[in-house]
Amino acid sequence: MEKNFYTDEFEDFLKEKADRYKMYPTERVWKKIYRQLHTYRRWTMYGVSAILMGASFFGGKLILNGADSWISQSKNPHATNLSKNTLLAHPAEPNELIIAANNINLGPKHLADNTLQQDIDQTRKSNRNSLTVAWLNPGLMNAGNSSADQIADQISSSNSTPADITVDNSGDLSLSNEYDSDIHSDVSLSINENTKNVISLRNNKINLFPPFNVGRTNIDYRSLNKITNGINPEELFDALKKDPVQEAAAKASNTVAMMTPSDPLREEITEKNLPVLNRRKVNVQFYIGPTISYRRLTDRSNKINLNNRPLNSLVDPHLDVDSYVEHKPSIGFEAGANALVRLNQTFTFKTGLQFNLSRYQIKGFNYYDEPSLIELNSSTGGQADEVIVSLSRIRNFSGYSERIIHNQYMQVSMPIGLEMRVAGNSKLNFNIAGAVEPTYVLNHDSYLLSTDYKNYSREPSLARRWNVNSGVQAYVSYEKNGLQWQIGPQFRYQLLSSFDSRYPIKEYLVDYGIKIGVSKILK
Amino acid sequence: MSDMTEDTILEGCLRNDPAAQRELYNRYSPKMLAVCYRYSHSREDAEDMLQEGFIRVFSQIHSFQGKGAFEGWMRRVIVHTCINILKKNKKFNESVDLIHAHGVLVREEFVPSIVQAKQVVECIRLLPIGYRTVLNLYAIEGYSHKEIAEMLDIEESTSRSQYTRAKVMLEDILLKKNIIQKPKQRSGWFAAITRR
Repeated sequence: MEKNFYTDEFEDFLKEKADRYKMYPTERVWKKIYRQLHTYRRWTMYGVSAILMGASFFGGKLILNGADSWISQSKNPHATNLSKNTLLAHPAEPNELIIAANNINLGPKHLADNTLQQDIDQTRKSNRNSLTVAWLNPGLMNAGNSSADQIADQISSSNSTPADITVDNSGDLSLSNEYDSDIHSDVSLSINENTKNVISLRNNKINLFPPFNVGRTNIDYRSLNKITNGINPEELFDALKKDPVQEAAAKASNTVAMMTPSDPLREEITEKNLPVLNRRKVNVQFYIGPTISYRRLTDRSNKINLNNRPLNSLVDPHLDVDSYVEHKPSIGFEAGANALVRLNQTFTFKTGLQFNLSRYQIKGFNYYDEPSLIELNSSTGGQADEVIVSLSRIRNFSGYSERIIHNQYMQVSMPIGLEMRVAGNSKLNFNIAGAVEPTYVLNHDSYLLSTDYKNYSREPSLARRWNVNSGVQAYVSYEKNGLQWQIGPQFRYQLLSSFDSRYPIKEYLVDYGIKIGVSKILK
Repeated sequence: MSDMTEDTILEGCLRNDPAAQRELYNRYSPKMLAVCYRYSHSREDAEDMLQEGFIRVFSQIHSFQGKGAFEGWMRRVIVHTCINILKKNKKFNESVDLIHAHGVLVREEFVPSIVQAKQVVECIRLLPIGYRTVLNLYAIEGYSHKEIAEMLDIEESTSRSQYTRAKVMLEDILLKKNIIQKPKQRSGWFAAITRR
């Protein structure tokens, strides 16, 4: 108990007692502090995990769906994926039909009657050099056994018509080796010389058929004509010239599903495939690129109160805040993945996830501790009704030594946009693209300028977590080995200020850079 | 408490090392929570202030340049945080602007008597928030009335009058609790010199 207490000693008494007092916080407080301090660590972990999981998923999908097709595609860029799931192991039976299929969109009318003959006649009349027609003779299909019917059903249900046959001026027909980029075909035909098994590759499926004498070239249309009239298919195939293939194909036995990637038969199929131009609808795209980040700073025509005590004599209140700040761009980067959905020949819709690191430098000066004042906008638009005071050792002007500070933002966004093909051909294209990107700021390390323009201080509570960016880009794309590579300049602009609307100085991040991307057909 | 020196802890905190941050927190959080408690309405509010304050300490730690005691620097950051949080409270702003605050009814059971330091702190907390804040800043933290006026967006004269009234009120509370005794009346020239 204090005795002989004098009021003159009141402050000392209070201070002594208050300083002696301790309270022990609950563990919950530290957990919250830790979570806030190490957001970056947590989100980085989540981000890396998501990227790894995504890469594993897509990688696994590509491997499972077509380890084989990677090899075939490396040899023939137009070949489609071969999926083990879709391999059709078909037992060899006598008198089955050769099926060579493509996806010429002639429709089911060609699956019957004498359409082929009409096409041939028309070709001859029009004096064209060649005509690619779809052909299947139902009579033929029914001539042998039920297996052929099953195959026919399969082909018709897949919106493809079988057979790809060329008629030239002399009237000869041939299984075409010509590649017409306007026709999306994915057919190949091969034969095992020993077993006479015929193997067709169609729409990711390998079909193995029983022995016939089949050749690749110069089919006499008159022989074919007989087929269309329902003559025994053996006569047709006897008329075909032989085109020997690797003997090793025989080892494929009755099922091509067992072929190994190095199997010569596979290579034969691939190399002699009819070239295919793939225009699948869904692509997945990965991209990365260095960016140069900067910012636009404005106080929106002096809406703030320039009641800056030490700077009143220095600043011209008619100038924007940008005039009083010295900042320089820095290098950042962006990376992401998009799903591309082709709407038509010109437009492609895209959406995905993107990670951005944006940063820039600010020149400041070291100074002694002094209060940094941030006057917040009034919600009613009048005078500031709240001032945040914090300690600062960094000045915007005159200090005892120069200091460079770095502001940086880590963001994840979801670009939603369109790509437009402006010019080009099947391989090389020039495109432009635009997107709107809802953005979440994962973490940031940023200094705010006090509203008297005097100090820099951190004030995390004023940072805006959700934002919106817009992006435009132009790029050249080149297709090779089933992958589409692209490179081109891009520009990204932040539509909302980095800070809360109560902070009167507005900051808009700007990123410009070179984007390098690669797209892969998914399915 | 570990054997880490304060310099080692600060270096670790500058590297954003969680272990060093935890050590710093363990070392200073009891004192700082007591600081926050004097400015807050409840223990929960005080813990929220402490949390916000430590986040600021860790994020601004690079600006501590080793001049003076680290504890003093940290205390100032925590106090500024408490003030900023209080200022977001409309009731506080009204209270701190009022020159004529209402009196406080002090009842015996309001003041626990566990230890004297705690008694004093609890007595301080019985003051209206505006009085209490000015008294904390002036008498305990050592800020001048000019600095307090700037921090609280009030006039310097308001700060002075708030403090005077707070002091009278607190003395009254402490006397009623028998924590302090009335000074003996002195008279004549000595009293005139020593009386404030």
